[in-house]
Amino acid sequence: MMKNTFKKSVAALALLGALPSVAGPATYAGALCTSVSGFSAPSIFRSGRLINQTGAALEVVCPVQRNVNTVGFNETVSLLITARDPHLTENVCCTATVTEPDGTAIAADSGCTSGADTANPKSISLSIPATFASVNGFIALRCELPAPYSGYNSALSSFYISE
Amino acid sequence: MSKVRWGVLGLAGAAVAAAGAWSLRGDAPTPGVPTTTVSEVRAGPPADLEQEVRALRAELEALRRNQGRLEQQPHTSPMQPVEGATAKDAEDPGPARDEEVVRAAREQQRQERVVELEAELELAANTEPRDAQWAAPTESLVTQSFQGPDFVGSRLARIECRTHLCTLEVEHDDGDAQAELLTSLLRVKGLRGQAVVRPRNEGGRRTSRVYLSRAGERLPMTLRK
Repeated sequence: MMKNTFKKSVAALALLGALPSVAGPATYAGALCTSVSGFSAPSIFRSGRLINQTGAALEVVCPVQRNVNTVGFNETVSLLITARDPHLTENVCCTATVTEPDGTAIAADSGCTSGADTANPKSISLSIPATFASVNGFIALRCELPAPYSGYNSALSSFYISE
Repeated sequence: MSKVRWGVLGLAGAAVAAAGAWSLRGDAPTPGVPTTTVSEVRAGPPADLEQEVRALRAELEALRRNQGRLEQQPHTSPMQPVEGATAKDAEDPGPARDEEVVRAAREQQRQERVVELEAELELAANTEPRDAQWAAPTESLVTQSFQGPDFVGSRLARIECRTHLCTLEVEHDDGDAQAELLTSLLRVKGLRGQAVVRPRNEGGRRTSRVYLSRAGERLPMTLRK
């Protein structure tokens, strides 16, 4: 009886020791992102935000290192994107992907803001089933910012990533 | 008076005799029970337990090493970045070797979970009822999208939508087309949701199986939080 209890205790401790660490959550500034095409007029970065002043819709990509060297029991990557969407008919839409080391996109989630607001930021919540990709890859967030509307510019303020 | 003295002496003698007999009985070995001294009783259990814990630790370590060796044999390169250091580590097992073993074990664990999750997705794809109002237009949308410039180098071989997800079979001309498939697919207006790609490369023939959720919904699988 005592022996069994001890075996169980040792096994439990071993399992506890094997629990993997996960990447710490972090918030990144929108200025980390860069225009996908590279040919349109550059957007303007202020206070770390990415503001679309190009006069047209802008597509940006934000590559982020996947700082995980072990596989966690948490099998998703959560993202919270904070953006300004003043456009009445178009929305800020973002797609986040987790890739393999060679850049092959393996898992993704996408979402858009709804409605329009010139004063207050809106948020987009995404959840990627990241366990399908090996841990050596990276995360790429791609966002489409609508063109200015009635003098108001759309902006990508920040994005939060937690794994 | 003398009777009283003899009575007291008799009682004392009887008490001494009883105490002696009791003490002798206590020291006598009981059949089937091992004899232990007081010092053994005090020091025995912790020593035994310590020894047992040591033996269990050694056994656990040996099992871990064996498991790591077994898992590394069929394993491919992505989780073995310290391959160059293994020649030395194999002779002298150290922290680097242990870390490699743990990584390999966890990668194996991940791959097993991927198989489980894909089985869940397959089950949903095969058993969900078909919501014709959503499935038919989504199939048309995806099929038309593959005619566009974003999908150059990829061909849609099959698509089937149900209620919460669509399953796509795609063939690719090269690795670039395969790598960009998911990004291109989620650029299609009207396709917003979760997606998972299972890329395959069988003898140079590149294909991908895609699971795509309904806009705003999650793929039907049980992810651990």
